[in-house]
Amino acid sequence: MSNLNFTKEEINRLRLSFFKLIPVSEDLSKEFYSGLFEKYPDVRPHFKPDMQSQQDKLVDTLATLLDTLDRTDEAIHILTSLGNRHISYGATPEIYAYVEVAFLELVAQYANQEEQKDLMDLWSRMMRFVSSTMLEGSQL
Amino acid sequence: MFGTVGLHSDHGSFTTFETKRAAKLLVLLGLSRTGKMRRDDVADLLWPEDFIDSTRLRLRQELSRLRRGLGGNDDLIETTIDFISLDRSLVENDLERLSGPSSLSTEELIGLLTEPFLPGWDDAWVTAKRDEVDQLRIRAAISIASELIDRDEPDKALQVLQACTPISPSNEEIRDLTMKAHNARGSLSDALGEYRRFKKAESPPESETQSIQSSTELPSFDAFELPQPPHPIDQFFGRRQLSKDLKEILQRNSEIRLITLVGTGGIGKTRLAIEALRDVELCIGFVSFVECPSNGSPEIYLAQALLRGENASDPLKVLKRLLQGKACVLILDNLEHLDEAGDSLLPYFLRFQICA
Repeated sequence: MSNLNFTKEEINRLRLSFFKLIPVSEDLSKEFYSGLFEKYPDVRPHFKPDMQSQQDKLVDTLATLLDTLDRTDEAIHILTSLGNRHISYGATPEIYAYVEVAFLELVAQYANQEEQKDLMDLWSRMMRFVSSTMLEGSQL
Repeated sequence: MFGTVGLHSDHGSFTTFETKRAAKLLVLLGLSRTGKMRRDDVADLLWPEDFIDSTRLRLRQELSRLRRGLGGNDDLIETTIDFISLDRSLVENDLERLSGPSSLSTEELIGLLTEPFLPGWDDAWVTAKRDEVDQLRIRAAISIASELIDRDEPDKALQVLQACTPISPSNEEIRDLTMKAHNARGSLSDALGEYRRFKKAESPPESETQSIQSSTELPSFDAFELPQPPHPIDQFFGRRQLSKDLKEILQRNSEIRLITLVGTGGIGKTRLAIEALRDVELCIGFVSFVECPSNGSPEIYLAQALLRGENASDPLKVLKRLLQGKACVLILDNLEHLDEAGDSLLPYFLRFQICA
């Protein structure tokens, strides 16, 4: 089972980072999906033609996840069931690996420059936790 | 002054007055900076329609009523032949409490934010005050909510902010603080929700505008041109000041729905309207009612005239959709041709807000 090992202070910094990203979250999400579809055109048909609600859903899920980050069991539960649902979206380990990197790049691009370096380490651990837990969920 | 009018003191609370004017007298004095007002000025505000001479006695009567209503606090009010004063060194009004909000408890502040200001009072001096009151409310809410967030009491901050939202639904500072409070409560989801709610309130859903266009197959509003007033060929003179005044009224008071120009035929009403609207950055439309059939509906006549023969099965509906949410001045010329039928137009403007 994945382990998060975030301190309370680290969780707060991640949350604050996300909080600051809220105003650009829509753009970030949009760019994320267009990058994904460019790289893996095969997954496009698994989604509705209008991506608006899907984009919102991605940001919603991240918010919920960060809200529950200090209750690890809950976070893991959310992610495993999410991973399970992603089988039907055509998600493969390769795509998970891509998503992890691509998402991090976008966060780096949209986040405040000054605090980036330190934060990116946190986001990177967070994304590793997300993708490994989701993958575990997809093999249930 | 919020919800009810009254004086709260060590001797108790006094909130019932024999007449509404006695209460108004108290408010007038309480709102004035020094507490001291000329009798004539007070009378003019309490009885704006009447001659000063006839109001002196009535003012004395209201003063006695007010004193009786204040019980043991009647010594707060002093009078001379020309002046009435309320000892403002001892009396603080609600607006002052809002301006120095740090002494207010959250509950008191929420009361000041949500209770209507002098409800039902429509005197000009009261309505003129309402905007200022709302500004004070917003500033007080922002300042107290920020303090509460800093003191790590986000729940209370949220209560204050939510009480303030109806006053100012599109205030970005309120939104940012609301998001901050949600975040401080540990709910990024709620912070995100607040951000989306605000965004949605700012921009009306696109799908609606699209459906209007497709259902009527008319050009969008910006492309749609209303019939314009005729271009006068001679020079305008003699009424420049009046035209300037009218222009100012239009530009300053966005809530005005209808201005009627009245005067003998040929005196220059139409020309005055045209001149006043020259160089005004508003969408303008012009319709003359000279040819409105006496037995027809003036609304439909107006709609058809404005749409200029655009083929629409329900011109009224199309017009309403087209003009909705758009500031627009319509010059309705020769309205006197309508007689009583014109009455039906008035509620139409008030309802659809198409006449500035």
